[in-house]
Amino acid sequence: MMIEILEYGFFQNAIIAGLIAAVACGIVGSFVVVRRMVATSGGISHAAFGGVGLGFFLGIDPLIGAVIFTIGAAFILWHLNIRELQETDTITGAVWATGMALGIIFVAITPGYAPDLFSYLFGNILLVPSTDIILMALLLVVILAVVIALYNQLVAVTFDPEYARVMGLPVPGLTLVLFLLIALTIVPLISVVGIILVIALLTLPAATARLFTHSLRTMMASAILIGVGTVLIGIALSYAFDLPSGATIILAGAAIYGGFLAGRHLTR
Amino acid sequence: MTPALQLDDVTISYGRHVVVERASFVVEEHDFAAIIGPNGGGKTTLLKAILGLLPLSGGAIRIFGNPPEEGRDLIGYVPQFHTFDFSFPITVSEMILQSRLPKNAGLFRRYREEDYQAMENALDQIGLSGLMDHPIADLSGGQQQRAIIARALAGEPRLLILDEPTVYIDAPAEEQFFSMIEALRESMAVIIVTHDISAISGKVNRIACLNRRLYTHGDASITDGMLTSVYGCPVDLIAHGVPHRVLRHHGEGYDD
Repeated sequence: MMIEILEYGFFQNAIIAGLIAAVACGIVGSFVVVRRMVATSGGISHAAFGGVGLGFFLGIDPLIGAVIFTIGAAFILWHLNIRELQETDTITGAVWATGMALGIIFVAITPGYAPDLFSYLFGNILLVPSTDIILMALLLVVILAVVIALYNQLVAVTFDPEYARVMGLPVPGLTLVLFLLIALTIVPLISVVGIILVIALLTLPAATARLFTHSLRTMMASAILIGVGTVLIGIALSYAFDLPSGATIILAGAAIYGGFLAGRHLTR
Repeated sequence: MTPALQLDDVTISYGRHVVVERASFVVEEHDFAAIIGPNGGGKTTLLKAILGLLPLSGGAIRIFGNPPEEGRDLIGYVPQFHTFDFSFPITVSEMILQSRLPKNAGLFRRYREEDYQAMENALDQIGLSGLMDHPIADLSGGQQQRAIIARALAGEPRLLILDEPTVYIDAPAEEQFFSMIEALRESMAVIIVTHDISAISGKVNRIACLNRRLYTHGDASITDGMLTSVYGCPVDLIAHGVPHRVLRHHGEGYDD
């Protein structure tokens, strides 16, 4: 049964989308976990809903709208971050909710039938069109190129920003690169698990990898493998038991994290 | 000879609040200097200005004759220990190599042979060579502190600045720490910034006390008068003083 299903185009798309998401998550999610940028990532990902709504309103691919909004949100949150404002936490929440609100308004004023928002909010990996796969692959290439080009600098800024400043590294610029990487990573994840669940797929494989790795390189590699496992197990279970794919993937990721956490406690 | 560090009438303020007022101080090459003062006295602010992270409202700072933004390439900076996230997944060698980044800026740059050499030399100098490939999380507190010093040394500085370096060092390790500093003085000037006057070795040859204003005393002894003006109430601090410190003449009744 599982073998036959692999011959369907939509299923192949689902696997490819899942793999792209897992690679992006493993790399960028590791930075998010070690630098504790989960709230920032939450703000950026929820703001993406405004872009999805804008996409429907303008009649363009909602994922392209999402890219525009995540990048915009990344710039706003970066601006708060480098100015070290007290209100950063509050404004992150405001960006989060405002993005969602804009999405709902855009959808409401779009003429015609209300589109299926459910798959953008909670993901539907079995409905990813081939055009989205191309966009996701392009985003992954950009993410990989940027991380490879600036790897040492990004690690330095993540580990000790103040020391990086003393060394004369362009810390605000590198922080912007980190935020933009988050923005670009979130877009492929929207198709896989949906806006609401993005944070979990971004952070769970990296958090799991952190439990047993001692350098960022091995953490990223392990997080990618764990992410691939999470997505494949999630898709298989969702198909076998006819469950929503996004939620099943997240539960698989949470179960793997819980398993490693329990294993670490038992072996200590 | 150009001094390692020269403060000329330095004033720093946040808005209308003056934190450091007209501070002047000179640290020559191979000096071992201490800047002491109570918490909130402006030490961190002055340190940030020396590192080129804060603008001055008046005066000038020169590092080997250059303004901080240019001169800081010659500074090895050892931040306060507690500001570190030692659970960060990074090995000792990876952390130390980061000091070589300014020499390797740009896209797709990887560390070169001389960077690895500088990293290994730095570890040799502070006696951590065997721990190169260990994650920083696995080191003891004292080893972690030395690893941070090695990180500063890997940049091959000519001025080493340590912020509150003795907070986590116990008495036996302190001897070791100060003999390490002595060895480093052959190739650089060293400045210790601390609120803990009991932590200052007799080997310090230059002292400044900072509490908004900077009080200096050339021959590195602290007088009661200086402490009274800096701390307001010297009694506590002197009572904590340990013998063989710089406090040669304790006030009547404070001696132990």
